[in-house]
Parts: sequence; C-alpha cells; structure tokens
Amino acid sequence: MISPSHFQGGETFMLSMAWKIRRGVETVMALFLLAMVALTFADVIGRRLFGTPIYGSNDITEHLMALVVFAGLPLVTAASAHLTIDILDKLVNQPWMAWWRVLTSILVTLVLAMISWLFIKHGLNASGISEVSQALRVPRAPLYFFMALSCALSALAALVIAATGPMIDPEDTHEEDAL
Amino acid sequence: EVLTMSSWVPPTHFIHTDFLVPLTEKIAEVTEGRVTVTILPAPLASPPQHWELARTGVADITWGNFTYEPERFVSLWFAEFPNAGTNAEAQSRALWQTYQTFLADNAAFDGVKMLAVGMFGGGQLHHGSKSVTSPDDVKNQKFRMGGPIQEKLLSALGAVPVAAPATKAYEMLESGVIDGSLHTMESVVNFRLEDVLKYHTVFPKGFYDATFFVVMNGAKWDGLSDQDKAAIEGIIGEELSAAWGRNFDLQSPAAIEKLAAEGHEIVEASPELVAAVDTIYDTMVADWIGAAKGAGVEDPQAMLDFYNETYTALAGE
Amino acid sequence: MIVGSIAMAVAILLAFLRVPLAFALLAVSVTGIGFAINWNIAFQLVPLTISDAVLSYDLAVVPMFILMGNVISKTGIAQDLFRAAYAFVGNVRGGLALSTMVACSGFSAVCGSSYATAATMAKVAYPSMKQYKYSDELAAGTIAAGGTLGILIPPSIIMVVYGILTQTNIGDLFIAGVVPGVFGLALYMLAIRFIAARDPSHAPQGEKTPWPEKLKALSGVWPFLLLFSLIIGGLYAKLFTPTEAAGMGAGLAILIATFHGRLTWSVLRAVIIDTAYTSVSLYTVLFGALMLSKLLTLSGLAAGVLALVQSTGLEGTALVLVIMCVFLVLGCVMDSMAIVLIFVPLFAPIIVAQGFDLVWFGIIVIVVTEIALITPPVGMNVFVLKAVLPDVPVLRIFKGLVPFIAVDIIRLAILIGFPAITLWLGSTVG
Ligand code: NA
Ligand code: NA
Repeated sequence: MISPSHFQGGETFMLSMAWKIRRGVETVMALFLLAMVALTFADVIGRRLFGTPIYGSNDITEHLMALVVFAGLPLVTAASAHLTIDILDKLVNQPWMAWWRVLTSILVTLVLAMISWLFIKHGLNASGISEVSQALRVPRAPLYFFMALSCALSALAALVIAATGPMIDPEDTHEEDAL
Repeated sequence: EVLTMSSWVPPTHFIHTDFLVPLTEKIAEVTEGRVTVTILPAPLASPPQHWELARTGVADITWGNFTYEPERFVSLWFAEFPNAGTNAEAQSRALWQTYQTFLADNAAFDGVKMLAVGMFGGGQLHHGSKSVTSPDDVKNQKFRMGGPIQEKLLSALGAVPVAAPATKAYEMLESGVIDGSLHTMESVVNFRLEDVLKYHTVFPKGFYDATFFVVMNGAKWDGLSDQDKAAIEGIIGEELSAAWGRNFDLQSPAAIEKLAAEGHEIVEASPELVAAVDTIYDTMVADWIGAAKGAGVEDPQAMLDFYNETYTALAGE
Repeated sequence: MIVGSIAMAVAILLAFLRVPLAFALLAVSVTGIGFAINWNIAFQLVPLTISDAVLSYDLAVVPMFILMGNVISKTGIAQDLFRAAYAFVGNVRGGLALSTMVACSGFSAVCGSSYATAATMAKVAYPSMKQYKYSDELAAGTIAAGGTLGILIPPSIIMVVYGILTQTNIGDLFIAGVVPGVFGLALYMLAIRFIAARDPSHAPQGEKTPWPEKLKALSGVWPFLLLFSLIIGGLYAKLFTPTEAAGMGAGLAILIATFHGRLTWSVLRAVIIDTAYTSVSLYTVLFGALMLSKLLTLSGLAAGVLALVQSTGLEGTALVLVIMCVFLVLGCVMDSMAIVLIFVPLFAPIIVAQGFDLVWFGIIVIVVTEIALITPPVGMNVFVLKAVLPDVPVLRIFKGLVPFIAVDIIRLAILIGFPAITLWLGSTVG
C-alpha cells in the first residue's frame, strides 16, 4: 500500500512518521496472523500424519492472538474503524452536534486510558503472583504491560483524530465485514 | 450480609448440587439467616482466575484448583504427585491438617480466608482405543492433561502431554488431537466421556491427584461479626474439607460400576508401570523440595511425611 | 436490577448516537457495576474479562475464518461456482438468479461472513444478470438475500460469538446450521421461481449450456470442493476442532490461491491486514459485550428479566415467538452483531430456564439476524450491495427483498415450531 496522496508533498514530518509506523505495525500484525495459520497447519499435519503435535500450540496461538489484537488496537482507533451503529449519522453529523462528537472522542479516550491504567496494575499484580500461561508457563506480566501500552497509545490516537480526523487510507477502507 | 459466590461448573454438576448449595444452606443456618450466600448465575472469570476473584473481592467466595495457576502454589504440589492415595475424604482431611500446620502463614495464601481444601481420590489414566498396562503401552501416546505435575509425569513416561482443560477432552478425543486423557473415574462419567474413553488403567495408590480450595475474601471475612465468624468456623475447615472428599468418594465407585456395566475395560497398571511411576515420583519429590524451600516452606520433607502419615492413619491403610 | 436496566438503555442510546459500540458497552458496564456493586469490582473485572477473552483459543477461530473468507473472495472461487451453477440451471426462467443463489450458498459454506458473501457475489453475479436484462429488484434482492446465508451455513463468525457468549459448543452450532441453511436456500429458490412466474419481465430466459461446457464448468469447482470437504467434512467427521478447521481452511485457501496464480504477496498482505482490522474491532466490541454480561450477572438484571418473564405466565414456544418478535423489531434498526452481543446474554438464561436447547436457540437467533441484514431501514447487506453497485437505488433493493423476507419469516416460524429440523443433523454425529 502506498501513502495516500493528500498526505504527501508538503505535509509534516510527524504525519509521514505516523504512516511509516502504521505500515510497520501492519506488517508485524500480518506476520503474526500468518504465523497462527502456519502453526495450526503444522500442528494438525504433524499430529495426523506423524503423531507429533506441537506442545503448547494452543498456548502460542492465544499469545499471537493477543499480540495481533493489541498491536492493532491503536491502528483501528486511529483509522476510526471501530464498529459503530450509523443509523443516525445524518443527525450526529450536523454542525450543531459538534459538541457531541467531541464528547464521544473524550469518552473513547477516557475508556482507553482507564483500561491502560487497569492493565498496568494487572501486570504488576501478575508478576507478584507469578501468573503464567497454562501450558508453556510464559509469564503474563509482560503481555499485560504490552496491552497497557497499546491502550495508552490508542487513547492518544483517539484524542489526536478528534482534532485531525481519522487516519484513513483511501486505497483501503477496511469495511466492516465480520458478519 | 449477602455474600456472592462465583462457581465455574454447570449448576447440574455434583460440586454445585452436593457441595456448594449445602454449604450456602449451612452458612445461612448457623448464622440464623444473618449471612446468606448467592451463587451467581454465571462465573465472573475463567476457572484459573477464581483465586484472584476472591482475593481481590470481585466475588466473596470462590472455589478452584490450586494448580490451574501453574507456578503460584508450589508448596502444595506434593499432594498432586503420584501415590497420594485414593480415599478422598482422608486425603482432604490430611491436606487440611497439613495446610494448618505448615502453610497457614505462607505468603502465597495471604488475603483470603481458607474455608476448605480438598483432593479427589486419585486420578487415573484413560485411553480411547487400547488397553494400557505396561510402560511401553504409554510411550508416544498423546494424553490431555493439566498442570506442571501431570506434564512432568507423562513426559517422563515417554508419553506426549497435551495441555487442555477437561471440558475440551471430548472434542479433542473425537478429532484425534489426543489418544487418551487423565481424569478421575468420576469425571469420565461426569464429563460424558464414556463414548470416547473405553480403557481405564487403575493405579492402586493413585496416578496423580488434584488440590482444590474453597476461599473467602479476607476483608469480607474480617468484616463479619464475631458471633457469625464463630458460627461459620464450626462448619468450615477440616469438616468442610472432609465433605469435599466424601462427595468424590461417593462418585467414583458409582462411576466404576457404570463403566464396567457398559463393557469398558478397567485394569490395574502392571508392576513394571507402577515401578516406573515410583521412580519418577522420587525424582519429582527431590526436585520439589528445592522449589518448595524457595516458596517459603522451611522443611518440605517434614511436610510431605506429615501428610503421608496423617493420610495413612485416617484412611486406615 | 434498576441500575442494570438504566445501563442497558444508556448503552443502546449511546450506540445509536454513534459512540463506537465497544466503548459504549465498556463505559456503561464499568459505570453500572461501579454504582450497582462497587468500583473495586468494576475495575478488577475489566482486565480479567479482557485477558480471558483475548487469550481464548476458541475465539481465535474468528480471525482465521475471516482470513479464509477474505482470501477466498480474491481467489475466483466465487466465479467458478457461479459459472458451474449457471451451466446447469441458467436456461430455466429465473435461471441466472437461481444460479446466483446456489453460488451464494456454496460461497457461504467456505466464508463466515454475510457481508463478504454479498459483496463478492455482487461483483460476480450482478454484471451477468444486468447483461441478461434482469430487473434490478430481482438481481440485487437475490444477492442481498443470498448473502445472508453466509452466517447460517457454517462457518459463521456470528455463531462463534454466540457460542462464546452462551458457552455453547461452536462445532455443534456449525453442524446445526447446515439443514436450516439448505432449507433457506430451497425457500429462496422457490421465491425466485415465484417472482419469475408472476412477472416474467423480472427474469428473462437464459441460454442452454451444452454438456461438454457443463462438465468443463463443473471441473472448475475443485478448489471449492476441496475447501468445503475439508471444513464441513472435517467438522462433521470430527477430524478437527473448529479453530483447527479455520486455520486449515485459511492455510489451504492461501495455497490454492497461490497455486492459481491469483494471489501475490501484496494482495495477500492487504487481505491479511484487512482481516486484522476486522478482528481487532470485533474483539474490542466483544470485550464490551462480555463486560455487559458481567453487569447483567452482578446487577441481577438477568435474574430480574427472568422473573418478569415468569410473572407474565408466558411459556414455551409462545415465549420464544415473543422474544423473536422483539429481535425482529430490533433487527430493523440494529446491526446483527450488535443484537447478538447485547441481547443474547439477556435472553439466553430465560431460554435455558425454559428447558430449551441453546444450540437450537442459537440457530433461531442467527436466522433472525439474517433477516435483520435485509430489513429496512438498516439492512447492512443492502448497504454493502449499494457500495458495490452505486447505481441501484436502495429503495429498489429493499423492494426486491420483500418476497425473500416473506419466506424468511416462514422459515423462522417452521424452525421454531419444529426444533428437530435444526437438531437432527447434530444427533447423527457420534
Ligand atoms: Na458461512
Ligand atoms: Na434491518
């Protein structure tokens, strides 16, 4: 994917950095998802054909999934791609509803900041009680700190796009197609 | 005072109907209705989180398995080793006494009021398609299991451990993810695994075991009136632990009878297989003594001996 | 109970005022638990609930099925299916619409999403129908309605979400969706025949395909058959767990597409990133829904609604019919996923208390949310179609959907009246 044209040219260094970071994180997410598929493939084939499953493959899948979701959360937030019910868009998009849109952004920022703070506490607690994953006994605290960081960045993203508008890639609208 | 209880087995499970519900009734009875317990319609978190739910006060009373948190309660691992016995009531009483004597002040148990501990009377080895009696029969077979001890045990026997909760066993056996699974006789029936686990290998002193807790949030306990605390003290502790064990002692013979009637093969492990497990047991104990010292137990060997002596005395063996 | 009811109302209001659903649910649940119980519990439950969900192996099925559907929509499998179906039924009146419907159901069997099914089939089938002078009503209506089969015929993302919320076995749900899905296809085809017979101008006759070409077209569907037998066959024969089926399906779809030369790295990368975005927003909204269900549990609202329903004396099938009417009304204005996320945790305990099967209820709910996808004013499939076919007026699409909605309601009534239709196939397994 190429940078959208309206951000090229005289646009700020910050913006081009933001896009570079976004591309980088997207590639990492893509690799994690591919790894999940490859792992399942290898595990099933290994078990069916050779009787050798991969120990803790479920455990690895769970960790990869957590990494994908929380690597993606700031990106989805920045792209304003969260699931929304848009039946009353005409109403909400009217000029006199601007205060409501600001309030909405503040609410999203606050919720994300709260989750971030709660995951910092959760991570500290997890290291205190040696919380580890079931099969491979991977310590949980670093993962919780990663989630906290992701939520903090997402909170920041929610706040920034309230002012600048969403970071939308015109070539890829990420239409909601989960249903 | 209304206390909440979070439980993660369905309301039809015997732990719910024959243990938790009677416990709530007894608490209401001895406090003359001043303290009642509501069992929430759905668990508030996954089973491994149930200790934390009580400790942090999200729910007031919870129960669960100590080793669902694989590294937190190292001091209790010894009770999940092979040869821990098959009489669940005697086991649970012995474990309570052990806990009271050696562990009640251990930091790992801070923040909660321990209402009971329990064991389940010996887990056994179950296979879907073949009889398993000798050490060779176990080799390279994939067994579902949970926790660090079962993993070590199976690996040492040359089997392939697959970590998953017991609720997943049916699906995994059907899809060939595993060849067999570790359960008590009772849970083969209670998890409806009779169709997929037809061969049962019995170790006379138990192949492995599981340790359970029933806990209450510490602050909530402290906040009860002295009168209510005294009343509740009368029905918890060793008595409640014994009640836990009795439930399993009732379930297992019924399960064995049912499985035998359905034509399942129930055999004893061969002396060679028992000897192989005994050898692994010795290494496990040696490794654990170091780990338990690290977890703040002064004399792990003395604690293990105390448990064994108490169990033997109680079980009349 | 009171706090719970207020919280539900506020959550829905916020969601309608364009607060992202996940954040409406999270904010309301945390505040609700904070006021109704205490703030410590509210704050402790947030990380517990989120980490339980994100570290759930069962839920990891979601991105893999989304990925499989997204890859498949780029592989030309939809074209192959449509070509084969057309070769066989294209020459009867309404044949193109019938072939589209068959291709839709085939595509649904390898794709977990109704949007992807509708969008893909729109690109594949609409131009042909236009070329043969089919009316916009019939053409667009067929695709929008056919697309709804995507969430009933397994795999189905929304079924996974239902399974997670109600702790129902996802494999059982998938198997249970097969017969109602095929039944839905049959009724849709009847509806097309009815439209074509009543007003032939909607659907001119197509051309007959000679046998050699029929066979050639048929031979093009092997990638589909391979994927289909792997996923549905594997699930039915219990070769895989659903999560494994999803991983295998996604992997195989990537291999097939690469083999056909239809998948370059840059396309694959875009497809995977798209999948990741969709998965993230789905997970986030699920965090909110799971927190809401904690509020329902703790505030006593679930128990309160149960008591309320019991006090009305409404029971059995009549009760289910009332619940479904509520869902149908909600479905007019709410997104399918939102309905499942918000209302299933509220109604599932009532269904269990009435002694009904949660697998059966799940299928009924899915059928209702299928209808929600095509009922005005908010019919997501219609909007997806509109995005792909900007020239067709929305009103005309809705008009074309009337006969399909009618047969959907008939199907819903039959499935409610005869649970055995849904549960039979599952009973033949093991
Ligand atoms: Na589908
Ligand atoms: Na609708």
